[in-house]
Amino acid sequence: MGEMIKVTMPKWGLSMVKGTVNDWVVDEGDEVEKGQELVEIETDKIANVLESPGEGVLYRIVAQPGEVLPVSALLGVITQGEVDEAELESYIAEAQAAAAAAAADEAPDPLTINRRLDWEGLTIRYLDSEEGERPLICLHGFGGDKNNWQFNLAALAPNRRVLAPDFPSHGDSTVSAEHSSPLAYAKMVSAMIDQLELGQVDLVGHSMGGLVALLVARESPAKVGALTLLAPAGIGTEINAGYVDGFATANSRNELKALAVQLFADKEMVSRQMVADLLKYKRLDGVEGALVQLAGTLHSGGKQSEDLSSVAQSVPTKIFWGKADEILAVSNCAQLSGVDVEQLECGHMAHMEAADVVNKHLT
Amino acid sequence: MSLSESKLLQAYRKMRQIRAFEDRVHDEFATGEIPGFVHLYAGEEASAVGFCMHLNDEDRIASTHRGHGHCIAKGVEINGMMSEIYGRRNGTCAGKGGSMHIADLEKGMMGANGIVGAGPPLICGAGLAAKFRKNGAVAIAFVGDGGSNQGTTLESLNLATVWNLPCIFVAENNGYAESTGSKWSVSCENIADRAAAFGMPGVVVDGHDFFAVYEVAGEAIKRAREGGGPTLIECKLNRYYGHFEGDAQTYRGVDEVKKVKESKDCLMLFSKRVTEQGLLTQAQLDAIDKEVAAEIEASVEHAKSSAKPTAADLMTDVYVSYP
Repeated sequence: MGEMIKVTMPKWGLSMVKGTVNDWVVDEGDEVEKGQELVEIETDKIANVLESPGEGVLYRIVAQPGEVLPVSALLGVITQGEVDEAELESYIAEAQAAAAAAAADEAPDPLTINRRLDWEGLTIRYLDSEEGERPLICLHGFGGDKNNWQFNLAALAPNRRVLAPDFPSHGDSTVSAEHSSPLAYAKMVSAMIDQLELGQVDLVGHSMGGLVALLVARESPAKVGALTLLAPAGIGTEINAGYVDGFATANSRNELKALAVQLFADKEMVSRQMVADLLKYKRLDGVEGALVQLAGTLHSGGKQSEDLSSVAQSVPTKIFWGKADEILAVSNCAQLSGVDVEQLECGHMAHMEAADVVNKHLT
Repeated sequence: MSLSESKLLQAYRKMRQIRAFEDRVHDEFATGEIPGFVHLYAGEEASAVGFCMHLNDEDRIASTHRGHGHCIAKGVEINGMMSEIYGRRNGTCAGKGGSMHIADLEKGMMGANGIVGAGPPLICGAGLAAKFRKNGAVAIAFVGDGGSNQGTTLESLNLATVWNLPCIFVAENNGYAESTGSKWSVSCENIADRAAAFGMPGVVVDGHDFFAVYEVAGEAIKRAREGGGPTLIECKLNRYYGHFEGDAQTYRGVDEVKKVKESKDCLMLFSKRVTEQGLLTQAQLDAIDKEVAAEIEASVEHAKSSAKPTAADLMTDVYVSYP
């Protein structure tokens, strides 16, 4: 059995992903040299002739004129020496399978799509990895958005389905003061589980998102498997009310920077871009009013409004808490018994600051 | 002008490395594994090597979108370049630049450049720095015939004379700005003729002939090092591949490239001359060909098996603080 050389759909230019096979310039059975013109290929921008990648006999034409095929798809096979038909067939099948797998790799990452669903007349934006079992919904904190899970979603997606919504008045979802409370957000999550037919889900909630997760578990216990809470609100009574109220009303770069550094143990993690994005969000119409109202539901008189420790004790729950948390002090869980609490060397943003530990648990 | 045996071997090796590198990237790009865009330098090797053989790491060069040859000639490491073109983390620029942005300041390579005509202003800065530092360094900008028509190039020619900078402007005229013929788009017979308007010497040289380029380059670089100011040099040469990979080149004549390869190929001319004059043996050249082929093969394997940048790498290398 001699050598076999694949003739494949080339990549030409900057943006070519597929090409149309036009006429073959040589026939099956013709001898060809390296560099000899083989087949005309056309794309949106380019019409050119593919040159032979090697020397031999064009033993088999696989792609027929008119076919549209992705880059690297098998177009034909050049052989040198004796040919074993069975081996040739399996060679072609293998090459086509490899090309199909490569094409699948090129498909857009489902997590990059900004999806939408409607809830009570609002548009809720969310990310969804689409594939996989054991759906996990990731719930961001006060003033955050779905992109706070940037270090987690892609890492978890190979092992399970992950989803991350923007709560109303956050991220790209509709701003609505009326729908801005932890209880309203819990209803939204419950509606999301129904609309997307997710069945029972696990929830991971950060800060206010942790409180929302506890509320979903309390209101709709059948829909919730396990909870993972990252520096959650709703456990204990301590809260940095100055941060919450300050964030709701801050409208300059300097104010936001001074607040954002309180989120991280390593202050260097606060980038210019992060502050610029927060400022852009804070300047959206209606956001400030909605956040002020939301802040009012989270604390009164400097203490948290609601303690849901009993919910955490009734559902399989794991809590991660940063020892250097300046927003919700780790001492909030001091009195909590019967729940697995792991303290970490980080600030308020465990999912970013200690992503590996959190991801390992969530996998 | 005479070159030692080791210099001759070095020149041949560099030219062969560039040719083998570009031929291989041509094949690999077509498989779709290389992201972005590549423009190949094959056919023009004598120009990059003829100039860079005179340079040390203190000297700076600025390149073009067709920059692989200049990188190799200036001493940028080949494995790093191949990884860079493949977008890998161990590439020259951590896989973030790709073909058109390979830069290696330690080697004095200020960068390939996606902007046509962007190199000349850069070397005016490098030339001014060398002048202030009095370190005897020179700066060279390679531009194409298209780049030679850009305002940036013409302004730089003026500035270099006004400030008497140690700069050399090399117009690599391969006959086409993308698909537009230079015979049509360049206003004068020779790009080098424009030098007179800026009060500097202008020289035309056959860019297929390494020895001719090396000699002309040596004179200009010596003059610049000694405070004699800038020079404009036009290398007339040919590119073997299209403007970009996939270019159908319908603007070129039938067998145009074939004829050039048969009659003016820079590696062929070099080999013929050194063997006929008994300066090197064919066996020496064959040995280099073999070593370079293995080196390029290894660089492709190395690149393909290297890791890609991670999401966290996005936030690094965005700003640089110069000392």
